Amino acid sequence: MRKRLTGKEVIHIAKLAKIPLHYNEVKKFQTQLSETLKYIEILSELNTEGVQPCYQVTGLKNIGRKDKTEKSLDISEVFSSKKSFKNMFKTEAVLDKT
Amino acid sequence: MELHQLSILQAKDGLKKGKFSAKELVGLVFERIKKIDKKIKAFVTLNEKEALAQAEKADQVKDFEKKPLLGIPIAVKDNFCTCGLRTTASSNILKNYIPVYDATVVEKLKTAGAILVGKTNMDAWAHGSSTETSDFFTTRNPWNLDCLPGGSSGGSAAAVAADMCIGAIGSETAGSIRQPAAWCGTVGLKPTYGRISRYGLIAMGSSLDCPGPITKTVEDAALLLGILAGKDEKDATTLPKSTENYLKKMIPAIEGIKIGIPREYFTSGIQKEVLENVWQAVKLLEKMGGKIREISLLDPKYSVAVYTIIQRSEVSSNLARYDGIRFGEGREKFGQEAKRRIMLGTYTLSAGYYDQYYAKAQKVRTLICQDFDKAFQEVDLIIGPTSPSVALPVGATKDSFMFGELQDILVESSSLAGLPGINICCGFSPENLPIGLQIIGPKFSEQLILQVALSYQQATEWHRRKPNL
Repeated sequence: MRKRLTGKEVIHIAKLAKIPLHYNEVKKFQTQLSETLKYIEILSELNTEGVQPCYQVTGLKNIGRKDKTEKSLDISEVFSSKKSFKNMFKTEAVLDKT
Repeated sequence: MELHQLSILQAKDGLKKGKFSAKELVGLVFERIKKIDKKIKAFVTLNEKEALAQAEKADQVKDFEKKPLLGIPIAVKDNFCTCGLRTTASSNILKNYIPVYDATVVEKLKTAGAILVGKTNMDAWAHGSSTETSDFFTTRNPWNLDCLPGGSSGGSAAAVAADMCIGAIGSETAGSIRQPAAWCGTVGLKPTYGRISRYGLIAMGSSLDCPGPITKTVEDAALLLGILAGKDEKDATTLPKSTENYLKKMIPAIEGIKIGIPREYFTSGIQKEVLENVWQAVKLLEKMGGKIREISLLDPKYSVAVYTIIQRSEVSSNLARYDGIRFGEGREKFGQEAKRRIMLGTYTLSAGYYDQYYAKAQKVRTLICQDFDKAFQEVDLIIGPTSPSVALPVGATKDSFMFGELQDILVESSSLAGLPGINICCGFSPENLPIGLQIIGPKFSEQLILQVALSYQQATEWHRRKPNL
């Protein structure tokens, strides 16, 4: 049986998922996520040795389409939801100036 | 019968014969919404001005042959992108998002002449089975305003049950069409995975998501399925199989059809009145010529676990795109349920745990598919309760962070296997709450499912009952 998630692990998962957490949420999620993980442990009761994982239920494989450029969005549509800067999206800085 | 109470086929007939105009029909639907949606809260956004303009146009066109939904007011779940009309997925992140394109489902509805009434409430991002996790408000069950409509397509099911539209569209990842249909006493059809395009549907679990109709009758579901199904270049998982005119082939079928009753779906965990009504329906189908036999399926508790892992893993990946850069608000606006799901999925996909959780779940998913394949060698269709209970009271999800998964225990296996299934009403509890049964079939068997559902509908009167609002 898996051990309970630690608060540190919850903070790490939140960082990976880019979810800002309040201090009081850490403990709550620690309990809730641990309980869910405990529930899904029941899968270990089933023997899956030699069983192929299921990636596509209807059996489709390698579906492609012609490599043809199709009409895309107009630039005004692209920026219709956010203010742009010289037709570019504004993002948080990734590189440090120094 | 008043106009807003009509089914799609009845409304089509009335429009065609000139008994009323599309403008009258659409006008009455909005009158109905204004009168009762304050109590039910099925809609997040209404499209009244545009809908009335479209209705006027429909009255001029009158091309009922080419446009099979001409002038028919349809409500659409708020996770389908609608060009120029706010699409929120009932989430604060997309509270002010106005798409610049239509989902394929919406495009097909419009091409068929349907009139978009508005966008219906849902659990935020479709994460739930109650509409209580909507970031905006909870929708109420038209049969009892103190009860939940189910979810995540709860707004669509409530809108249909309360006659605030003539038909509606929902989406199902595992139960989100069938369960609210059961709790609201409507028809809800979840097609085979890939039958209807997911393009423009705000993604939840991409290997599971299926758009589908929520309607007043089985025939209406057949009509909508025929209009919406088909290959779409924009969704590589759509089936290349040609689609049928399901409605045209709607001849009742039950004589000689082998129906499996899985003993694992009729256990002590299911409410007594639900079991009783589903059994009565099974007996009726047997009397009508169905060959009933008991079968055994893998315990659905394993499907709950598989679904929990796969769905949360896919959620963590799908919701990674909401960064607030190109549209929408920042990730701090995610609600508790979304945060919980994203984090669990991040964990089950992370290095060191992938094999233990995700890979294991995908292997058990293979076992579930094989289990159904084996069952369908013995029987043509499977019947069971849709939900373990009738509609639960508002507030039932509080502190129950696996509410959806446990509530959808009877529909998760078939969703994981990509199978089609339908919910139809098979009775009412002593408190006058609807009870739903589901008919599940092998992949691509929508036609047979619809025909058997039609036989049951023709032999019963449940679908004619209306909530007292």
